[in-house]
Amino acid sequence: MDHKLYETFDSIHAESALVAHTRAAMGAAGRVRNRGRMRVAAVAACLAVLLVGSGGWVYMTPVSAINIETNPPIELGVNRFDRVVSVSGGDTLQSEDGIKFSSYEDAVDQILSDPGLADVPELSIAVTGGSEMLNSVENCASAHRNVYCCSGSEEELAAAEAAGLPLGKYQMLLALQAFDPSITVQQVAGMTMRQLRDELALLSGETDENAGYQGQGNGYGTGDGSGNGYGTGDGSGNGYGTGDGSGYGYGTSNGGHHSEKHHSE
Amino acid sequence: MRSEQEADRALRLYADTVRRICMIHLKNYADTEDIFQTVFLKYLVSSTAFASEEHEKAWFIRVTLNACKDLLGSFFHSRTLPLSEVMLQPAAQEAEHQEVLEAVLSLPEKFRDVLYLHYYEGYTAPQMAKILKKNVNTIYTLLGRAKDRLKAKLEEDGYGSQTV
Repeated sequence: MDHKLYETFDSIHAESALVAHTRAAMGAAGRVRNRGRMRVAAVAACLAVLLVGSGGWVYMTPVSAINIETNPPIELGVNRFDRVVSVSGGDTLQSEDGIKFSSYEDAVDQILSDPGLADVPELSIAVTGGSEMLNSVENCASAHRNVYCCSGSEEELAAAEAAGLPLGKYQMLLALQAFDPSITVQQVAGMTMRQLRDELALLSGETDENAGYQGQGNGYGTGDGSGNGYGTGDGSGNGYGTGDGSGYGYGTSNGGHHSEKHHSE
Repeated sequence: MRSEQEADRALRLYADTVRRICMIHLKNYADTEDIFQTVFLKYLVSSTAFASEEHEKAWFIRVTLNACKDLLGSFFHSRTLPLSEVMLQPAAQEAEHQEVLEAVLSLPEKFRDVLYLHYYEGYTAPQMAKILKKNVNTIYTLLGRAKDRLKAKLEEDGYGSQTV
């Protein structure tokens, strides 16, 4: 009986149609599963691209600008994370490396320290990023001589560019024109910020001190004791401070020009 | 998820085993096809790692038995009678085999399993106890009774009394 039973069971085989159907069903199931996986992978890839793209866009979009009025002017685009994301017109710089993607304070510092700008007599920096950025840039600029910072809106900056003036000078032009409409762009362009400020002070009848404009380049000496000098004169005036202590000199003149000397130890 | 090659290999190796178990449990071809595909699709998506081919074969037997029981025990199945019921399952063409098969199929399910596993697959009682999740002694008892019942059935049918 054992043998008969074995033979009986052995005579049963899976029909070829049954095997073929099952093979087809398994193939279809595998494809559906693979298709599902591919779909998931595709969606994940799209999301990743979208995330990276939008993140990159947010990072790479400048929201404010710092214009350094060299010739040609250097314009730094600053993103919302206070990083420099674009540098244009940096031909006068000897090294542009390290400016991009650094914080704008570092970038301004690096540009101002650039040997290519050492012989530039006067620099104007225009900022469109609000007072916080202006303060930071002023902090950077305070270590350098004859650097003037000012802040303005995009529109002012555009108008200044249209007039061919740095923003600081353009603002001065507007201020001067309020007193003397005959002042032209050319006149302003030929003067330094210092001269412009003196001019404005003269026109407005105010002294440099309370004119409301601050310029780097005033000399400060610190130390023990104090000493200061103050001089006025017709035609020319100069003031200087000497001493072991802090000296602060300034002068005003009716002649429109003045010189100053500072000595500090 | 197993590869298509793996699925194909399993189909070649275990198609007959699964078909035979379906044969001794199911009454119509539609159910057989259903269970057959269910078992192999289960294999396709299963992540079970098999230690050996024997292990794999035992897995197929266990899964097929469970699938058959699930189908037969389902409410829908127990309350309906498919039209194809009248169609005899194909296979077992020879008259001699047909008679033996009919005798086996006339036995209760628990006897059919042990007869198949012992006489065809060659499993011992302890191995069957593992696969069927039963006590070894129960298997011995079932096997003894199954043999007796089959013998009686075949004699009753007048089939080869001299060979039984």
